[in-house]
Amino acid sequence: MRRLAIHRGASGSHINVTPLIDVVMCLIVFYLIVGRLASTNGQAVAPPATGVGDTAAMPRLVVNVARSDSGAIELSLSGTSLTLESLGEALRLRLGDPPTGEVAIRADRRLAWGDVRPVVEACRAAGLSSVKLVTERNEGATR
Amino acid sequence: MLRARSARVMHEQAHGPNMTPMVDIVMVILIFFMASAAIMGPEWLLRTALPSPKAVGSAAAGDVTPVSASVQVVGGSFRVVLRVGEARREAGVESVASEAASLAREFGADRLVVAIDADAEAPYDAVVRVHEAFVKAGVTRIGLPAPR
Repeated sequence: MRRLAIHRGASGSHINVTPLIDVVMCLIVFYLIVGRLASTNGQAVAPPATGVGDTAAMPRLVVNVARSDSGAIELSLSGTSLTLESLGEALRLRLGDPPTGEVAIRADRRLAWGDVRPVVEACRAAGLSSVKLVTERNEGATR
Repeated sequence: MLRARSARVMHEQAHGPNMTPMVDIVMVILIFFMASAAIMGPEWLLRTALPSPKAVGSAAAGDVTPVSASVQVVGGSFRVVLRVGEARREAGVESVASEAASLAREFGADRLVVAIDADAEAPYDAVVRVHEAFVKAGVTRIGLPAPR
């Protein structure tokens, strides 16, 4: 019976792969969305908008800087929450000595420079000679 | 032909139109737009140097023109003070782009080395806008010097 069904399927019709494609497509969309949300660690970070910038790939290490509802500064390094005191050590661990790789700082536009500067100094203390500031793409900016 | 057509009509009457091809195409279009959005990204990157105090001193001695751009908070508002040697210019955040372009024309964008500093109370947005102004002017050597 089973042999007959396989034989008939092979000769008369093809295996229907449409449901498989649908499920795989749904999984891809799901993981794309989850990956996108996970990269910001749920923090509402609105970077400053600029009309210029580099379109290169985002560095592997991204430090998010935002202010929480309670008013405290929240930091996360590639999705992992940490404190300012532990940021330097975390960067040194991930970048190595001498540091290899790049770090991007995605800070909220509503922050003061005094909130962001300690993060920049932590990057400098970790041995980095440059960082990348993340900005929101605003090609229509006239300023 | 007639039999095949009538079979399709009978199938549609019994089960409705086949939605599977439409779902497949919509999924592919959705993935295309998501992937292109992920690659293009809604974000840009501004590369900023983190010079050591020693490097700042050597830049001043070389064949370059050091520019200091300082975002200062005065009362409730803020201004940008540009220093080139002994010369000092003031600009609002809105007009810093034209000042940066003027400096680039005067000294050459490739010779300018810009150090951006700001008061702790200055908005981070203003610091980024000063950086953007010099990038627009064609300056590539822009950095955030260590606080003194």
